[in-house]
Amino acid sequence: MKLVFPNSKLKNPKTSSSSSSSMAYSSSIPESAIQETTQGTFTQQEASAYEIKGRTMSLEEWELTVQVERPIDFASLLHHGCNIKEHYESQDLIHYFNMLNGPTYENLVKHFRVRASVYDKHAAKLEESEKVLIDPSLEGKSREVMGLEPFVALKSGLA
Amino acid sequence: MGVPVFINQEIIAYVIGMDNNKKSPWNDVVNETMFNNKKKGSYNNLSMEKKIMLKIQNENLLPKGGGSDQPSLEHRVFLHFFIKKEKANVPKYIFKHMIKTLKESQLINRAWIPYGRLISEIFNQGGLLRGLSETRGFTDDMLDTVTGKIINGSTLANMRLIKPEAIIKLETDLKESRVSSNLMEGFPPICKQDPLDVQLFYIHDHLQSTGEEIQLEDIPEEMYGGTVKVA
Repeated sequence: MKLVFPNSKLKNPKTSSSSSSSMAYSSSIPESAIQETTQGTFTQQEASAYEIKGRTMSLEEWELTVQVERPIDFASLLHHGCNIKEHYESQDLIHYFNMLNGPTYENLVKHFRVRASVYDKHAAKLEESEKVLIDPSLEGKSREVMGLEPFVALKSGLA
Repeated sequence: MGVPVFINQEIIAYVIGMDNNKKSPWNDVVNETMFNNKKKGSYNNLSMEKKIMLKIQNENLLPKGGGSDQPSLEHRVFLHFFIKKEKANVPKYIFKHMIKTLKESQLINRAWIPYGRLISEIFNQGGLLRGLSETRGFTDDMLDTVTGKIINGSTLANMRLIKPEAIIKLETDLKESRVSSNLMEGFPPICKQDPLDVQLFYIHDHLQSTGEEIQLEDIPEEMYGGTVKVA
């Protein structure tokens, strides 16, 4: 399984009509700014039709509450009698915990979250059967032949 | 007509001659780790270290909306790995938890969404923030940029694990105010409200030091950044 980035499909905004984009975006980020961004950020990708990822939930962005992780001051905790750093060192998590002391862009997170979908084995199979429906000769061919990105499953096993 | 046959867990346990133990075998293990006892104790029986480790888990590893004093078996097993320093597959736990919370939002309209910082850092390392800052069209106000509140000695006092007068302030204490947004990187501290000659001075200075030219119209209306709000 992997999370799909909605914005990875945003390409050249010029090819879209403005009415379609205003329908799909009910974002807290101003639309004019989004158009600018997509131009600035994604023009290095090949230009194909401007595609907006649909929303995957009925919640609105402004209804969401983002929980922000909290940085840990291990030195302060140690001085108050809590010697716990080594428990996180043994899990190799010090880099992660240092990273937590940084900015969270709540509106970007919300914008992503209402459009995120889970891409799993089931979704991959569905993709393939749609391709076969259009071109039956693709039946039994690999995903690469069908023009799909390879599917990498989450390795299962003991945690 | 016929003979109806029912098979369930109890029947199988009986046929293979085992107790039908409805409880996960993990229960005994995690209770031993958390409470030094086979029986499940209460939150109050936990040591200070274990309470704060549970807190950290609920904030940063498997975020949990709501109270932390009734951890689920999954949360207790995960905590067991940390207390006993048994290496756990943390990315897998985080990913599964992220998927689970996403499905809760999609299926039962759960408005609470965790991993704000982790997802933001994925955006940052993926180049999204660099792209946004190049457009000069965004401010931290628009993106609602925040930073997490630090867990330190004061947190222990808030959790009533130490007395408020026992809080020690250290020179080395982490401070939220040192966090700055990725939008700001390398941009001089000017805005359209500054006098024109000040703006021109900074543009010239930026060109000298970095070789990058800033257009007058790229200068934001309002000053970028400053300190990031605490969530």
